[in-house]
Amino acid sequence: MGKMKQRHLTRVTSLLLPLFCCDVLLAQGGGDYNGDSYVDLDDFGYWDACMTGPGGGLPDPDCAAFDFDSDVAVDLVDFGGFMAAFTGPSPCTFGRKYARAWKSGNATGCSARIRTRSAALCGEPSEVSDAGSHAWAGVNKFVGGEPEKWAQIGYGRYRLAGATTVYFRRYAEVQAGPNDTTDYVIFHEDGVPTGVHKYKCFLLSSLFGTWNFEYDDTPFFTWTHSGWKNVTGTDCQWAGEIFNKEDQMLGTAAAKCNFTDCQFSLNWGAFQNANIAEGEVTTDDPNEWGIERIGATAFDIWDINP
Amino acid sequence: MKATAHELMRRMAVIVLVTIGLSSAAAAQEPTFADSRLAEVMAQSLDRSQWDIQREQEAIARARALVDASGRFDSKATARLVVLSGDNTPFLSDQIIERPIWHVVLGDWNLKLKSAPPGAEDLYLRTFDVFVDPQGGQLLKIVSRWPKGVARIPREPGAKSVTQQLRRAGHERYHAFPDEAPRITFLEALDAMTKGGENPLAAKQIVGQYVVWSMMGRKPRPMWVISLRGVPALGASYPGVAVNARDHFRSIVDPQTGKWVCGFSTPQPQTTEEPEIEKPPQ
Repeated sequence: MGKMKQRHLTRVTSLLLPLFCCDVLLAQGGGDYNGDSYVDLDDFGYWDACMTGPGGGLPDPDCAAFDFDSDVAVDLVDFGGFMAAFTGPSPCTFGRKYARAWKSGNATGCSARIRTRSAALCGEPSEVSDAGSHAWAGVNKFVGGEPEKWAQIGYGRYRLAGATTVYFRRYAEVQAGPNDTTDYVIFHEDGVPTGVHKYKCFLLSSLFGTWNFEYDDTPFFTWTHSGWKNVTGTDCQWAGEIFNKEDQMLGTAAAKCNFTDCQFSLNWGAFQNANIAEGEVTTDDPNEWGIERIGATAFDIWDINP
Repeated sequence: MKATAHELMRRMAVIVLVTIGLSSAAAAQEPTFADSRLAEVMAQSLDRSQWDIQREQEAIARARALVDASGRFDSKATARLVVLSGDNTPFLSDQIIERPIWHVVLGDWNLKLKSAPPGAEDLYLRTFDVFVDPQGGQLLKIVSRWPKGVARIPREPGAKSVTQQLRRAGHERYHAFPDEAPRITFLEALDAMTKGGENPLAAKQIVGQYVVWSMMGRKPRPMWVISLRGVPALGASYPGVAVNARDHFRSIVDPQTGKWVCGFSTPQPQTTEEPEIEKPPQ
């Protein structure tokens, strides 16, 4: 994980921390340089670059994470604060994992009916790092083996770094990339009723780059961006996705997460059945996450060791 | 007669503002203030008896009731009339700028949220600027000041660009400032945001508005619209998505039920020229 510029809610579990801190200290210090909610060796890796000694100032505003006594310097006094705040690393092993089916081609739309399943997230209910388990249908545009653009609609359970709250959401997300902040949008909504629901996304035409998202055939979200103007994807995917290895993939062996009526569109044309072949379903680890093709337009996924 | 006087003063204000060249600072989420004398001049020329909020203490009481009715601000709140020369509220910025409005400062407090996990505390000592319409008492905007010594994130663009972004993303619209008061306070709305996974305690800046809101054909309704800025980036590792596209989030909270409704990454900082919205076929 790269250097993150944000600092946030640091776990104030150390009994010693109150000896060093006050409200202002929590705002300025905390030790969580990389903003992953843990004060650990990853953060300590930035210590040398920030340590200036008494009266030495802060070489980088982010070094305020180490300025425990708010004297605008990082010195041995702050090192004491860092040691007291040290929590160790997150129990969650970050790295997105997938169980999915796909169809290659000039994709401009993707849809499926997906059965809602719950999934436990890493360290729930006390953990405060990023976590998520989602199921979605979407279009990707791969360039050089990496997804440069995508659009997807789905549901899942999610936890944002710094909070313990886990919630169900429906969401639509588009990256029109690759670089500008305005290339990206996400919209999400509270609550996912139980049962089977249809998720559909499609480019309206080649003219404007307008993505439309539908939930149970009802308009859910829309977004227009020139990055998708006269551009198609390189595949349509129907996927289960987790953020951490310890997050549970949606579904269990006894109650699998079903994808049915999988369809896609090419070149802004009409939706057609996916005709998923045996070789077009895959899992990142067959010992961890199961996937089974049920037919030309259906497959199941589940967590083998929930 | 009142309307005529108000309109006259409004036009004068525009002339003065253009003359002193303050209108260029509109591209920010924080409102920009015009010359402080202007508010006094305009206020003296208007008939305060027509205002619902006539005095400083009334403005403070109103702001307090909207933000948090617990009374914690009694000793630190101040109020004055101001004129804003710039504001980036989408759709409604014209109703905020270039007229006298109450500016209430609720200073130096840490958020206390019932929904916060055990041990979690506000990371910042916060001062809120609350803007209230003197004539109807409507809340126009609540903005927390950026914490001192903390690196800023990119600013939001100006009202025109934000309006375009919202139209483009879900046909979102702010219709008006509601006449009816919200059933839940701003602080209670912040509490509700945690149900949507958001963490106000970690936000470097909080911007709140209470507006009549709609999107995607939903019936316009009063809603709390609250942006958390400078939060941990959504998705700790997100290949291909700029961190500054994910370090803020804007939530919609139902002021009647206290339920978190939905959230957006819009508006994004910076703007690029974008096409008009494509209309679906009839």
